Amino acid sequence: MTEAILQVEGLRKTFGESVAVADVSFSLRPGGALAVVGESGSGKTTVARMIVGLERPTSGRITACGHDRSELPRSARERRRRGGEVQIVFQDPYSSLDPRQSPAAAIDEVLRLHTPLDQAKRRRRVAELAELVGLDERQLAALPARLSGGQRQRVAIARALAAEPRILILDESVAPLDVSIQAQVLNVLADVRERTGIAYLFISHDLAVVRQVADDVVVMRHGSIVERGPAAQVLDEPRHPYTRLLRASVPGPGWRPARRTISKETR
Amino acid sequence: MTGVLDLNGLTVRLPGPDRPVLDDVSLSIAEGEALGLVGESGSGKSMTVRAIVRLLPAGAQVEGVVRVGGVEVGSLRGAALRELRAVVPVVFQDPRAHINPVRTIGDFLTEGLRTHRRLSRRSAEDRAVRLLDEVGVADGQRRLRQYPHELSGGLLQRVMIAAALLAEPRLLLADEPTTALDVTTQAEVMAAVDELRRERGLAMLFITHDLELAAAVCDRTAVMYAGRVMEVRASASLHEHPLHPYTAALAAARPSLERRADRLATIPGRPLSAFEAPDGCAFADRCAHIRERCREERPALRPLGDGQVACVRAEGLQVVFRD
Repeated sequence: MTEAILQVEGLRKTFGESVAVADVSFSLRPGGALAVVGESGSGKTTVARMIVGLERPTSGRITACGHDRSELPRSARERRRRGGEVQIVFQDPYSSLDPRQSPAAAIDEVLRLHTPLDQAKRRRRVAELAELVGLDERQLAALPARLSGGQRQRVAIARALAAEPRILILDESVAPLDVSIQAQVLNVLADVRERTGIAYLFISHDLAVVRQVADDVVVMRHGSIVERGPAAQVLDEPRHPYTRLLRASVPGPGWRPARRTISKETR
Repeated sequence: MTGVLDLNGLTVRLPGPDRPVLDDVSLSIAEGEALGLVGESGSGKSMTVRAIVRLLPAGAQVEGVVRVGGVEVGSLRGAALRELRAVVPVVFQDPRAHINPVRTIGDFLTEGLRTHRRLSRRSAEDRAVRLLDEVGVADGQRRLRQYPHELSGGLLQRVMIAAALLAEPRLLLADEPTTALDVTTQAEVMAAVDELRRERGLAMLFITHDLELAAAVCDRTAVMYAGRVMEVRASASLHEHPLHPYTAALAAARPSLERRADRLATIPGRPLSAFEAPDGCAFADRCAHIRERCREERPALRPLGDGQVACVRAEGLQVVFRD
């Protein structure tokens, strides 16, 4: 077995009394695609935020590209190195771009920070990245306010890829997109993985999207992993009752939703 | 025939230089029927809801006729308009944006009953508790004392549905009511809605971006694109054997839970709004089956098989989509 490019061991995060992430371990192989599936409150986004360094784990270990990142970076240089290893694309493309910066300038800024390229080479690289995610010249020069949600999300992906990370975390990144745009973005992600050998960590609640993009799946509930395995196996033959409930909740032809009365739930 | 809801040639323009958002929309809903309205951004599905209850932006120009239970809503004013909004309630996507955060659930549910129907506090509360029970919220007395922030999104959306039922409506408008909810909560809320509809013979216009969800909970489904209706048919046949190239492309673009596709079938370009749509068929620029005449004249919504479709090539394409 090849060595994991991302390894998470015994990860735990508490906010005061409440436990957001209880004891989570998983690994991602180079060029692999792992999906963390769960509903709101399952702790899946907290796991992603700890991996990129936006939250500090209460305990546990995170190793990416052979470097420990359980503690906060000590220097700007260290922070930049981490940025070159792991990038993240968030759910909301409306709040993740600077409204006064064109996509071309945003991507160029990342290239300046993370690569030794000169201005001419950077310009070529911006064009390459734009083509990869399907943005044209006009969109590259426009301000974010003039772009649709789908176009903004493609800018966010191109900007993340500009740092040439080995690992890209996609935190519900395709959830807000229109179906026809979502299909375009999912194909782009598959192309990028094939061409660059990047590894993906998908945080998602959408089982059909997970089926399309992930090799392996871990299912989280209340901060813990309840099931894990190859995507096809977990989705076709779910073993844990919660995974079965998730699977049965996906609407489709002949679907009859199950009635359940809320009584004990306090919130 | 007069249905619970009839839209005839509904066209809406927003203020500004020629900005149509709805273009000649005709739809009807029969007594007790659920109609799904599916579309992507800019398709006009939410504008359709707003046009029905007259909640359009100021200065919007409306052509065509909207009838609710045979009564034309375009000319209603004052008390009659308020009555319309009470008997045709709307459940929106984000319940927190439509409830006063500093009043209790009890105040929210009983205010109308006490001020308009002049019920006592006691009987208004009894009524509210019974309705909460019907939408699957037990322990109603305690819920009435709680504030919106103390309830989860799924629970609060059930409260909104209970509130919608207060005036004993015959038609419910639901605008992406479960989109913000987790899938397991969505299943529970839809189950409650489904049961209520059957018990009360309640008709529903259900707005969603999710073709599969519409197919699962609605009798018929209408697909909208760029402010126009492209196809209306029984949900099962629309989902399995789409007639319009846009419906077929939309169904194919969605990943499947059963298997992984080599590549997803994409639709080139992006969804358009009515004011950006080309002459002729609005979908022409993105359609894989385009012919010259598709750009020349706008295809009318015409009867075909068990429904209606707005595509001149629909007969010929049926064979293609079935392969």
